[in-house]
Amino acid sequence: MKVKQLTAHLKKRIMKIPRHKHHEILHHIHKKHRLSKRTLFYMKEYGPRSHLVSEIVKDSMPVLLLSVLLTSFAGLALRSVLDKLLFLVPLLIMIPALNDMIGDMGSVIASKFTTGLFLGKVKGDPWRSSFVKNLFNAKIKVALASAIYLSLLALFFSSVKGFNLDAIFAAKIILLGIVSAVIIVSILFSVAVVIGVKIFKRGEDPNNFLIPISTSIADVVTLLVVSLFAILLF
Amino acid sequence: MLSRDFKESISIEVVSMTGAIAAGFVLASSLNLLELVPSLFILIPGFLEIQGSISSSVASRLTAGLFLGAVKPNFKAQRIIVGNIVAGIVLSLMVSLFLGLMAYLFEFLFFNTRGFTIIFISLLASAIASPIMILVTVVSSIWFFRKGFDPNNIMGPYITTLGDIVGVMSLIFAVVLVISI
Repeated sequence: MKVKQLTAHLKKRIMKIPRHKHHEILHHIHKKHRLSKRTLFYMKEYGPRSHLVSEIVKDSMPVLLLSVLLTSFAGLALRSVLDKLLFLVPLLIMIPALNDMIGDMGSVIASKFTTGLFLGKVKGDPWRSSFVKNLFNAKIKVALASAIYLSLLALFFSSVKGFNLDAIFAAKIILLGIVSAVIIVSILFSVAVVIGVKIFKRGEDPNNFLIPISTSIADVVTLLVVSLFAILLF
Repeated sequence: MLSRDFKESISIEVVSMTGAIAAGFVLASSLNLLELVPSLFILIPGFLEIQGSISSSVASRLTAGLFLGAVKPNFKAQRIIVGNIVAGIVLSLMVSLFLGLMAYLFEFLFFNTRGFTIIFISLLASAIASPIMILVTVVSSIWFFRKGFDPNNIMGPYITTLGDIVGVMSLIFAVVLVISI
């Protein structure tokens, strides 16, 4: 199918559209010239004459500040167990990896669940849906395998650093990794299902809210759970 | 038998976690320095988070532009690329200032210790990490696109892992610089 070129007159009219407004001309161009709405939107946002830098800074700042505020509380949890952490080298080595893994899990669960919603795979009570059950089983398996792998890797690196390991300590570190991963993935899954369904029923795309909120929740909950286990187990 | 989804997810996670463990190892190797600035522990999670978040957003915007044809897949200075680099660095510095202030405030409120140095450490570490992270993100996104890969599938885990390593090293470098001054 041949795509028609935009005339100079139409290009000028697009340029004149005030930013932040969805003018009907965009729908007209989309239909007449077969240009996707995404292309038109992208050019309106970032094309010539747009205030690219200030637009990106302005759009991103609120979410980033919220994220930083939440992760500062996570950091506070970490700071409060500082005395223990200084002597728990394997745990210190493990924390960035556990945080990363849980953050990745949060965004994967959110995007997969949202895709399921859009494809109509989640009907009625979401907790009884086979799609949700299968997704939960699959992600718990990945979380368990990942937690065991990163615990073993952290133990290996701490022994390389000369940390004195015994069997009970190693078992506690592996237990901490596994239990934290299972608890946090279950929390993230519940958040994705409850909030995702609500947003979807309102006719909005859950991706825009669920992914940033899932990664922030993942950060905070991971460090809170790890700090709690550090107090309980060591 | 392991499902395809499990194999795909675990292979990405293994690469991502190995990189993050390396960041943890660097962190654990600098315990003596970390003890000197305890509020650094309040800063670390947020600092690593913003390095990954800002660079992931840059990658995502550039990838959309590459697929739509608004960004040409070459390494010449283009308006959208330069704008994203500048915006990424500006965002990183502004958010790091806020993060430094939060770390200072929390340290003072909950541990009754005053340490302005944490604000300088946060800003300095960001000034070191963000240009590296954003330039690597831009070059990698274009490179992967030119090689026929969809950067959307690769850049996420790759950038967060790189963000951890570059972020931790920049923080340690910033602590050394601030303490030595």
